[in-house]
Amino acid sequence: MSSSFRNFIITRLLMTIPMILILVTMVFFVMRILPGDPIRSQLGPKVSEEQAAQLRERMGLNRPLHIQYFDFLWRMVTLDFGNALTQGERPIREELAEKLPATIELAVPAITFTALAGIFGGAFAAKNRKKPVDYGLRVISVMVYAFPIFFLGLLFQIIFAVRIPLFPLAGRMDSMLMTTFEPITNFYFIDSILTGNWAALKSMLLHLVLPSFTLGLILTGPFLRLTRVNMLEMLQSDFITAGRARGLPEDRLVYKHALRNTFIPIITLLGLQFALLLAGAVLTETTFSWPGLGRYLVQRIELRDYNAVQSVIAVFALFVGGISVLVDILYAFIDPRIRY
Amino acid sequence: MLRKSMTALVSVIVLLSLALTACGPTETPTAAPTEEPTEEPTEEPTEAPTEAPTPTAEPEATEAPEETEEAAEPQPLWNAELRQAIAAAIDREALVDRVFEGRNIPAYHMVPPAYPYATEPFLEKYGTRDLDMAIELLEGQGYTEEEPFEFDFWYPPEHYGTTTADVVQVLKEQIEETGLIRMNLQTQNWAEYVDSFVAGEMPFFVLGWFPDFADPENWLSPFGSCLQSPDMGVFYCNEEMDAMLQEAAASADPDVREELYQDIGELWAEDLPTIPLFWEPEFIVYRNGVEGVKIASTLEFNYKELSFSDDAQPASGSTDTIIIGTTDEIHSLDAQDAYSVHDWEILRNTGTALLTYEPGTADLIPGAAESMPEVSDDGTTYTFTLREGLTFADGTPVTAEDYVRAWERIGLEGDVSGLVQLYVSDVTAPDERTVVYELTDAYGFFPALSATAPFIAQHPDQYPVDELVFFPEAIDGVGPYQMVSLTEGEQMELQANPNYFGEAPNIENVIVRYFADPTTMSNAVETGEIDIAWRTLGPVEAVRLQEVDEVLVEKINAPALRYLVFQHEYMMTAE
Repeated sequence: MSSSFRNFIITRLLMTIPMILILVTMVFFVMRILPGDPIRSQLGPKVSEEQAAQLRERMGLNRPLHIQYFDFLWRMVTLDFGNALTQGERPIREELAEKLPATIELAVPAITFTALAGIFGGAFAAKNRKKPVDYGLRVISVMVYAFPIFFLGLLFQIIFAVRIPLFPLAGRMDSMLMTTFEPITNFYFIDSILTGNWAALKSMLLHLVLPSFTLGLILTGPFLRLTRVNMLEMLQSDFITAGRARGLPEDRLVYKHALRNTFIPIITLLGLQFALLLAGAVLTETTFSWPGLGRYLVQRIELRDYNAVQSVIAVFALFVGGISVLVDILYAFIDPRIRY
Repeated sequence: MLRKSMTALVSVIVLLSLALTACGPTETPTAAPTEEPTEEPTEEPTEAPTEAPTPTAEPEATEAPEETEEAAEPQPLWNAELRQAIAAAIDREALVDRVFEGRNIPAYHMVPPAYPYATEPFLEKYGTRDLDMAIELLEGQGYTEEEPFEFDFWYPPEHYGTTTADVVQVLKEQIEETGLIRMNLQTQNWAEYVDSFVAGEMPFFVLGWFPDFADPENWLSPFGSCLQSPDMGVFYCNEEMDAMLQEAAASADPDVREELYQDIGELWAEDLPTIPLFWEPEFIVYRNGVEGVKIASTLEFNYKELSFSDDAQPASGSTDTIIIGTTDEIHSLDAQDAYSVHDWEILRNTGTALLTYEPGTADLIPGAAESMPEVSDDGTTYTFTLREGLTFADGTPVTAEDYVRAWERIGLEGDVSGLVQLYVSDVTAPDERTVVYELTDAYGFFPALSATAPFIAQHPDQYPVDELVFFPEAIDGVGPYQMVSLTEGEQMELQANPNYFGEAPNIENVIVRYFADPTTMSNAVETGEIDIAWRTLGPVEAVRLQEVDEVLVEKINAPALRYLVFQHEYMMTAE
């Protein structure tokens, strides 16, 4: 590894730290500025002020704000997120261990679909520039981006699960199979392979189709359009003209030579889209009753559960930061011009 | 490079904004009454009973700042005449027709019509509506079209379903039809809403109520007693009302109670701590072939009564497993803490309280106790004898000590502890099968209270005396089922309890499947992915599913009440 690349990686990693710090600080303070508190939201008006004060003390909410803040930062560093403040007060680490794999298991096929459909769709559109299929793809890309996720989700449910019963409606696995399923990592894909439970594997894959397709489709639009634009530019370049002159097949020129050179901006977009993917997961998980971190976040925001919300946002920030770093590193790896 | 990093930072901030916006003030439509705030009266006696605001006939309009008097004495916003004017102007029949297409039931008292001692005092005093009376009362207070009576009316936009906004809009129209009132609609997210009304910041607002136990006491004292009404944002104290409520609660004589509750109803319609609006039914939807769905007004759902007919097509593929879908969530599965409908449902199917209800009825029968309790002459001591040979699901014997331990665990101040502590002062176990409850007064409705979840014995190994256990891994109780697994947010599995004292359930296994969205759940019962959809399907889904041949929609006249609250101590200058 060259020293410039190594330096680049180190610098890039270091820059992630202030980003995450700023984000979790914002979340910490925003949650406390918002009206409503976890005591009242959980217990309603029944709680006397005395009881409420006792509960606040037990939860550490009566400590000075800066003490709560540094305590929270320290817990983050040591990955001890503490307990949820309300509704069961389960250790957040346990909740994350159960729910984060569910969200990742949803996000990975979604982003894969997004990337493949967007890239190959964009390349196809560019190749067929100004033909009806080009216009059609561009219109579709805008439409799917504009539709609310829950609308698309419900629409696909009605079409592909109710009217034409191809796929299950909701959840991660068939209820009966769940009774004998033994989660180990809570990645059901991995766990079913590890336990040799092929019925469970088939069920979880079927359950994954509609939600990941919904989530992936929403984000396909920008990919498609970006690829198309870059491809159009690439197809005008000299080396493509030279290739044509040498008699190379058009398909090979487009999909092998031109497309490869458009990857760099697309990879960057991939990193940015990952943040939107997590936001989209929040709504998708609700529509499909997918027990992931997004749905958990919604519940905990309603309950003003500071600990849980802070922790989940911190995890999201770590992921987005991590993906962003990977993308930049990959970018720099591909194109040596892009280094510090 | 720096620009790309900044772009990444910005996108993370966008993520945060999107996440907060997506689940901000109006979150995903969890239609209809999700969790009724089953507020129980707290035991804290610190509130000094304040007098009800005297009906001073203040002629000045509330918002017109009469700078004639400098820092004028704060005046109560409400008096009896103004409250009566509002009560008279409301047309419940028109309201339920317009918003619910007649599916809901107008409420003319706080007490459900099916209850003993229920009357309809609001119908007697105001008819279905008396606009002339309303106008006359307002004019008598000096209000005119140019200077109407103005105040804020608050509602939570999502907690009781999306119809709440329509309800308050119709109310506004009806009340402003007097021409002498201007009612400003205000809204707050539920968490803040509760804070605000408990702090007395809302002069007039809407709430929902679901009972803790089936007795008029639980529908009246929480709002009408000097001790308990501040916790509900009512801040009402009328000594005559207080005395009658206490006497009715402490009497076991049906004739005495009937007369007292009649008088209480009349005073309620006159003095108006609250205004009842309508009863909202629950809907249960189940596939053809599912039988034994018996849910009475107590809203108790006994899974052991369920069965499949011969031609049924169970969602599980097998007649020994039934799948029930719900959008409820588990808050706590500890009987000395749980205080929500779904939690109590699970606890009552995995456990049995001292008394219980005949399935599908509101008739009390012995549960874990072998017979109805013995009551002392002064009505303050109830003695229960446990069934012989009673055991937990794992065979561990149940003894009277388990009930003493339950009482000690009430001291852990779980959510439901106030409900018990208000009425019970001590629990003792003179022998292995005898449990004695000392009450704080001679409450004739104590049998109904002893049928509630806090009176369910819990396994000492699963529920230690010194801590509450919200999410046990298993429940080996005294009920027809035991909980064998729980995957939070996904499903719960129940299996028939081999050591149940009663008749074994018809269906060996029950799976409760948790949905985040009622529309998805309604689709699931339509396609047969689940056998039963229960709580909470809104009226829209219920009507849609009536057209589907494969399912049956049943309306449960559960006593879920929507009502309006006056903050009796609200001061005009506070605005």
